[in-house]
Amino acid sequence: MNAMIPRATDISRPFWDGLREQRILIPRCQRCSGWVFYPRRHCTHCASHDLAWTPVSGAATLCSFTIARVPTLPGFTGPDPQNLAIVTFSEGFNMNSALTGVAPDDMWIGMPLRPVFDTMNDAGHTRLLFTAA
Amino acid sequence: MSLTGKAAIVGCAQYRPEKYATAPQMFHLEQMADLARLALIDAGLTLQDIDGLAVNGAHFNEATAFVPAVVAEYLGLQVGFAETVDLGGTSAVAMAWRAAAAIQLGLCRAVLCVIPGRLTPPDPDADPAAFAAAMQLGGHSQRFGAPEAEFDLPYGHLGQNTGYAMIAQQYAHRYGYDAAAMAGIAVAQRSNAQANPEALFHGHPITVDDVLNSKVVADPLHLLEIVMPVAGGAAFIVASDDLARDCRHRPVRIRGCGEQLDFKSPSYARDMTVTPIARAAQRAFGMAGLTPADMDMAQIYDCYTITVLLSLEDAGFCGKGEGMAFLREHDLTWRGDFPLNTHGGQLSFGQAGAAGGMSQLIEAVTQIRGDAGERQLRKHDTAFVSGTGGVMSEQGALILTGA
Repeated sequence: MNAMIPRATDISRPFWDGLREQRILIPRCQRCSGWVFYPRRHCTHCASHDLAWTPVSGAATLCSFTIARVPTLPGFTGPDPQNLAIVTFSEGFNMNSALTGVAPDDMWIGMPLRPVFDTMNDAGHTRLLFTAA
Repeated sequence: MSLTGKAAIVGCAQYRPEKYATAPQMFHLEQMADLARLALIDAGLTLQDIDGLAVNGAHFNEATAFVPAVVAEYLGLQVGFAETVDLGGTSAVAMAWRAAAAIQLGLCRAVLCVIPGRLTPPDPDADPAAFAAAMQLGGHSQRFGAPEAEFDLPYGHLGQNTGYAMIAQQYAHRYGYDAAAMAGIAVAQRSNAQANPEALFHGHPITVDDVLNSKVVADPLHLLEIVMPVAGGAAFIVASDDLARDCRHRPVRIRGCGEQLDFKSPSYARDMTVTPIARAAQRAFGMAGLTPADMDMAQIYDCYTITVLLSLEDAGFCGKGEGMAFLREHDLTWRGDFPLNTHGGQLSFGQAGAAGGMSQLIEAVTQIRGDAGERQLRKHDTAFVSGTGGVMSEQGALILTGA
């Protein structure tokens, strides 16, 4: 696995730093309580700038998925077919991710998922994968 | 708000789709000048008649900014309306209504809309590896600060195939999926291409089994349900009614339009099975005072079979979740009761990059004129044309009628 390393910005850094500590921090609007993912400095529901980084458990369900029989990027070639997943957090927002430790035939839309903190390199860059709960 | 039908498509030009390896390489400016010349001949207009310009901004080869001015100067135009459209596969549809609106406002009388689609001569000083890397990322930004670079690429989320596949999977989960009926879209369009000598796959019919036995690229999409990028390019001219009367062909009036952008990635859609064409088509039909049942043909953007299915449902040709039954109950060929993508669609005609969506518009014009040859429809006065950019990200609809 040689995936592209996410490049954190001043806006998103708490999210990526959180993953390194096995915490999932998501911006939440303090005015309308809406969740904002991917991270931004404004609320996409009410435009407020009053957001707070808020921990969530990572409990989610599988919204949709596909098996990429032709890998989308060179870093995703390997013995196991590449899968791509959209997950819906229990809080209601969606995230692009991938499943790990689940065979393609065992994937189904609506299946409960739990987060897997995937350390990508020696520098500790971490991304959020999911597996069957 | 309404288009009053005071503008019409009066001229078209389209390069025959060719494989990149064997197609001529031309600078984009040169392609545009050539396509403009061909469209002017088709219309019976002169360069001096053109006083409006709509071009594609993204992926323009010879400039990254000031594109309309660069193009106008190169072509020898002075224009009172200039527009850069960056809406991917719905750019042609978007250009058509913008041109009609500008004409209706009195800003101009004849608008050239043009999108090149052939490769350009390679820069002798450029790094071929960088070019190959850029091609692989397609329309996906890799720039620092781009949300899709930061939150998609580390997980391998990239490009169109997997995005459309995940929409199809979600649809299947909600409403069921008939793989043979879906393959039938590609088969019917390939059948249409057998009556179109310009189509890339003319002379190569296929069966449902061929589609289902072709390689699965991303579940549930087979290779033959996925459009093939080719070299090409196209142009059309929208003119005011008074100019249109003196042109060579039956004017094709732009009677209704709609456009809708809901997201860049369908992952963030409220419901990825309800596509933006729903609102775009509703506006277009409402503006024209016509309904789906009034259409003699549907020229629906077809990057994938799933795009066609969802467009049929969301544009109102059948109910939500009824698309599979609709496919089974109708003959989608030019001979059939529901003529769809009569040129073969991009699936069988070929997709010339962002100009691919112009093939649907030009086919509607060709049919409405009565110039479609072997595949000419007997009833050919009204057409629904759609465009789709990104991963169902941006969609547009036109209602066209013969004058």
